[in-house]
Amino acid sequence: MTSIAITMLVISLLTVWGGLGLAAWNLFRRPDRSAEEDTAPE
Amino acid sequence: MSAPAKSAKPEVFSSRNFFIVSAIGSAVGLGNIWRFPYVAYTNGGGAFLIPYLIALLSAGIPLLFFDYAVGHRYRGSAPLALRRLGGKATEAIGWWQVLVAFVIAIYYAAIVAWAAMYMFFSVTKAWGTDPEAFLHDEFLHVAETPGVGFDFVPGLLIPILAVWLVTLGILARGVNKGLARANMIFMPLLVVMFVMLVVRSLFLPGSAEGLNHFFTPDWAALADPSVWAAAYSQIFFSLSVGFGIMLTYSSYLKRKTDLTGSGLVVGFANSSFEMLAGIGVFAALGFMAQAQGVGVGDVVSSGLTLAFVAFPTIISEAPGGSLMGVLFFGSLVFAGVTSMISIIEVVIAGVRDKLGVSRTRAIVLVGVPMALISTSLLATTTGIYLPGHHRRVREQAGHPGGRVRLRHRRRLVLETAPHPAAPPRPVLQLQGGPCLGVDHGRPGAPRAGLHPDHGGDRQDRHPIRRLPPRAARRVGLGHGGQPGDTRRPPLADPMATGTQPGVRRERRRPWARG
Repeated sequence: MTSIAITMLVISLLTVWGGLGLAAWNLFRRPDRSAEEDTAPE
Repeated sequence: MSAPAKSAKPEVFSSRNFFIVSAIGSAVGLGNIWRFPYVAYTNGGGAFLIPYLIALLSAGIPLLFFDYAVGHRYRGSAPLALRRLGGKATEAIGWWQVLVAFVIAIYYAAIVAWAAMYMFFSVTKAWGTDPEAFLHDEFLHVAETPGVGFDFVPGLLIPILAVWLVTLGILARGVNKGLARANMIFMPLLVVMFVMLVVRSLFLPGSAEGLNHFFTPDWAALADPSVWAAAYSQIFFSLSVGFGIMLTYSSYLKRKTDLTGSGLVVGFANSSFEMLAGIGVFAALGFMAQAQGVGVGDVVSSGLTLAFVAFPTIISEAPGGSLMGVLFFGSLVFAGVTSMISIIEVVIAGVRDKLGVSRTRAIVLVGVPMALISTSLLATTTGIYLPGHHRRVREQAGHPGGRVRLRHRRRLVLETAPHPAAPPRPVLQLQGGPCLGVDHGRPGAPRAGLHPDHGGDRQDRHPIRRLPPRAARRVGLGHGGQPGDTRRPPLADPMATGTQPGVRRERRRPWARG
């Protein structure tokens, strides 16, 4: 692959997958308060 | 006045993770695999990342939050929630969303059924040496004359019925035991299968060239508004925002659910899968180009052509192609089913809220008719001719040629002689040899192999002339609708058209009687 293509590949993956990782980390470090609700599942 | 309906246990996602996986399942669909790579390639390649990310952050995720907020706040289907939001005027928007979902589900089932059959065909490479002929003649049995007919094809009828049975059966089991559980099974399978496919594709000879074409940026594209429009369009279609799907799903959330955190995960997960799909698809197309001795640009395609013509060609030529085929078409099936579940749920929920009926009754009332419509229209020899493409396909069948592909980032390609009625224009020859996997594909297209107007040796051809997109449009070459443009439109591609998925907790009686 050319250097520019590799660069864009890395930037794309870091940005999108990194965004996913950060979003997941942000979400899961907070407890799921909805689990405390007393709503009977079906 | 009728007696109020009995209250029933509320339908909720018992876990935040169920909702997140289900929402991702809805967002990740056929378009992630067969639309995004092509859109990115033709709109700047690596440079497309910039408008794409801006579109994701400025429109996709905020609108996702909005959908979640409305559904979560008003605890209803699209029409009901929007009615509670703004009265009857906004309720009409909700019903429009239900109608759109109704129509999409009808043809979506057919595509999923095709993918399921091709998963089995991959084992024996049943398409032989001519995947396009196999698709049109032996699988779809496309009628000679466009129209609407009821000449059923058993090979289509049974799979489409099976797809409807599976999806309606999943929905009948409810939000947790059906919808959520199906997504919790299918989504991990989809990810595993697709990662295996991508890894396999990366080790094929020629894959690097494919990735070069996909990621090399054309920075000039960023100055073209159509590229930004394409980015925003892709985000809208891909994230399923504004379709009533995310609104419906979020109505099943418990009160204290973290909407924004969930929304960020869903948005980025969808984009992550698209990026993975782009890598896998273009790695495979790079292999295909090398195997055929042509440039990658000559084999790039999208939609139905990519899935049912180009990929079978790749499967036939690649070592271990059968496994690749099972992985690829199996991924399409899982992605399609999880999306289809969400699309049909919009309709089911709307009917339930309006009529105050149970889930099972709503499925019988609308789900069964949808299945019958889908089967009767699409399991026939004329199914491919359905709305939007009937006229264009007929035109193609009568045209001797004349097709323009406008590659924004690469070159202007005029591949065949123009239609006799069209004014003469310079013929800019295609670089490379056989023209396979034409950009969209259509019935009656030249078979795999040399394009009829590409006779002669490669050395006889003129070099490619490169025109900026605006200049190309000035000379009458460009996207559909412009004078002189004889570009062939795609096959019925859901993603191209935009594609292109108990009792409510506060309601004690049917909404219609409220």
